[in-house]
Amino acid sequence: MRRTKRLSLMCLLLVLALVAAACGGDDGGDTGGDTGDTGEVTGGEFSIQICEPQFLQPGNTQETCGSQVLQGIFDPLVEFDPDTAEPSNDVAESIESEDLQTWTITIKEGITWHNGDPLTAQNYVDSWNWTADSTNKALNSYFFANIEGYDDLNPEKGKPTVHEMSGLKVIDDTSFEVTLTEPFSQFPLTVGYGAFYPVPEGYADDPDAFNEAPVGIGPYMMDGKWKHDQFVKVVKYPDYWGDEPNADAIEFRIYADVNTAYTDLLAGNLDITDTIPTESLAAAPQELGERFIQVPSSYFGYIGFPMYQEPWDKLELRQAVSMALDREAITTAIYQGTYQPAKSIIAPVVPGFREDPCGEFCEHNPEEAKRLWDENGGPDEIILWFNNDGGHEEWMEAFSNQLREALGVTTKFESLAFEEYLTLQDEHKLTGPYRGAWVFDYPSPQNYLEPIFSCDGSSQEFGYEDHGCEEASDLIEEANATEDLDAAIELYHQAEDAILADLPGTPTWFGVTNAGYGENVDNVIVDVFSFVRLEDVQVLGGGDA
Amino acid sequence: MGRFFIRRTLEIIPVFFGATFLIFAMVFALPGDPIRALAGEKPLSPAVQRQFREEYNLDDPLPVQYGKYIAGFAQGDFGQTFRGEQVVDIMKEKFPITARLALFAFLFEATLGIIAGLLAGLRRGSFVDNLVLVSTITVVSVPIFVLGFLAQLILGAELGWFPVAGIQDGTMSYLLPAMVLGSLSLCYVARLLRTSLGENLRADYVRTATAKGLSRMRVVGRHTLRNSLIPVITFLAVDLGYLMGGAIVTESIFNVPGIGREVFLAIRGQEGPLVVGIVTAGVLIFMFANLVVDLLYAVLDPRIRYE
Repeated sequence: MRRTKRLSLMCLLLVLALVAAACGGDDGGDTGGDTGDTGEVTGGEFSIQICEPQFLQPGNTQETCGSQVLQGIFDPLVEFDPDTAEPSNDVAESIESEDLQTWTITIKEGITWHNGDPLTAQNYVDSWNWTADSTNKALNSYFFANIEGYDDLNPEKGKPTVHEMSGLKVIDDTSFEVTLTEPFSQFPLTVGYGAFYPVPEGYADDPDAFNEAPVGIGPYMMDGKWKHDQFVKVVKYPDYWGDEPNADAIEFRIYADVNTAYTDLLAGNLDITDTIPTESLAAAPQELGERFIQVPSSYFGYIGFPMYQEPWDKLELRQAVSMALDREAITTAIYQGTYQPAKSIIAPVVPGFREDPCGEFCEHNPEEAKRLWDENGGPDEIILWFNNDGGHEEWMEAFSNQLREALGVTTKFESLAFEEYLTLQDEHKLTGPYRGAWVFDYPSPQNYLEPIFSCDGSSQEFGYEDHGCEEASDLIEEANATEDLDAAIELYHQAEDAILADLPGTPTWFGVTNAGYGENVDNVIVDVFSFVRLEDVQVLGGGDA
Repeated sequence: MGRFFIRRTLEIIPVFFGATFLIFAMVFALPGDPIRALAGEKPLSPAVQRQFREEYNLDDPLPVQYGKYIAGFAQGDFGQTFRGEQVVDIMKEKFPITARLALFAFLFEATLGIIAGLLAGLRRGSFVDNLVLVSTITVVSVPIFVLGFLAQLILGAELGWFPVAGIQDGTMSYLLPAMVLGSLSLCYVARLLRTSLGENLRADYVRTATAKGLSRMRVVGRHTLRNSLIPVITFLAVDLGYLMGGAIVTESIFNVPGIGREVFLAIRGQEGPLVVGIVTAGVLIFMFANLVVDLLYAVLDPRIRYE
């Protein structure tokens, strides 16, 4: 409550300030929209807003801020087109398999680490083994769960006795073989994720030192150490193997509060932000003009149902809640149109997206919802669960009003700290609809369906595993083993339909990245991962910007 | 005097154990699993979670955990965060920043507060007095984040007199946040001194001093101001303790990476050793500041003696 109040006040103040600033006159220095190309090399330095990274290690970095920094310092095996998410090999020369289970990855020759050492296949194998090994407590460990031998490194009891996965074999300096536990057609996409970056020789001896000044293979290298809560600075790596990046240096400036970052951007002290605060969104298009960018992101929001808990094991009640939710009303009124109503699980930024596979049960239809609710003995009270640190109060309140109006129930909130919320969710102790969200790791329909909804999905939060998850899971597995992309997508569609028919969770909205940049820079491109393409950013006025 | 000092110093020992244990127990009692939250909405392999629990003694009962913490502490090990950072390193990095901010805020509130209080107290009912009264009540009633945000927008972004945020510009970048942070206490200082001065000016010894023919300057400077400052100094000492504990709101608005934000995040992440380290340091600073004040009383007012 305190936070909401604070935000709305800030909002008011900011709006006032923006109006004042807008009246102050237009300098007419527009520099043209984004062109989508890689731009020309301009030199110069720019600053970009991030939050304090959790880690700067491939094995541990999973939040966006650390990932954005590592994007500059590393290159992935596979990269994705910023508009279409179409994959193409980057560091990888080729990723091939006969049976979709044993994959041979060959890396390009002549790539060097920032310390001058050549990049080898061994670096990849070492990195993946380190991350998968439970003794290293790496947060990205589960990404390697489908590689053979992962279980030996993550035993159910006690400590692992081996520290290398049997499924990884170095063939020669530039190629290695990966054996998966089962066929997986989407494997080449997964290695585009940051957890699959290599680490330099000697990394395992002192990962903490690496964390403070990571050594990579990307266009930029560290300039000094990570200054916690202040900044991370990088400069161009002179012996970079790929195309020369446009700017000479980047300062990742760490902000605790996105409002502060936005004020700094308006004051001209910050060049790029990829998080414009919700309360400033209404004014941003007018304030930034062409320098305000909106790009669909991979964020998928949903309302989950505790199927392990009566009465939510009843499909009709879940459908009733889904139909009582007015998605459009919330995205327009609360999110200023910066989220898109979702009627599917597979997001628009992923190949295989369909507009409305959910059909009537994701339409706002209070009458039908009421009928279903009453006919199936819906309870008089609904308890809504969410975490209290992500700004969910507003839409949850709107949602509860919609439920009260449509179903004639009373509602109650259980708003918890994130830690407690996740723990209760894992322990299956939630007693009503709850908020959930997912951001993909790689652009594949599989990355939405399997982790969230399959029987052995990593979250297993709905209790779906005891309530008919098999049909969807089998379809996903079949799709994973299908080489032809179109045929695989067809199967993923069937799996999506099966899940939506069971409705363990109902889609709410897809996210949008709201970014903005200052007058010093141009060609700012935001990709589907919500990352700014660092190497493409042009600094206007060159070195003396 | 010597005995007083020793007794007060010895008091620090039980307070240290009490504070560390209480804080430890409170972090322990927080609901939810900090390890689970490390990975956010992504899953975390059970073996990895087990490894975390083992290394951080999370499965031990509270007394055992606390015992292990104190045992480490005795050997100079303040523990580490779940990210593997040494608590002592974080404190070394963050306390100087907070100390600097606190010092500037303290100087700001003490100097301006005393000047304003003096002017108002000496000329009761004058324009200056009214000005001080009205302006202080205004500042006191405005929440600090509004003040901070306004100052940032107007003095920082619009006029460009101060950096908007961050601490990259050295001393210059501390000024605005320090002024915002100190503004509230400034008002208290001014009002306290005004009242206290008013009372003392009516005291018998002041009348005697004036009757003796001492100059106004000497009457105020030597006989009134010194003992009028006692409540002000008491307040300032407590306030310095608060300032050193960090200021979450001001630090966030101005992006000052101080101890306040650190402790806030540490509590949220249930980082036991970090919370205990920071808060205990805060408690010790608080006690020390109060000890200094107690000793200062004797300097300011000769009637005060210590056993």
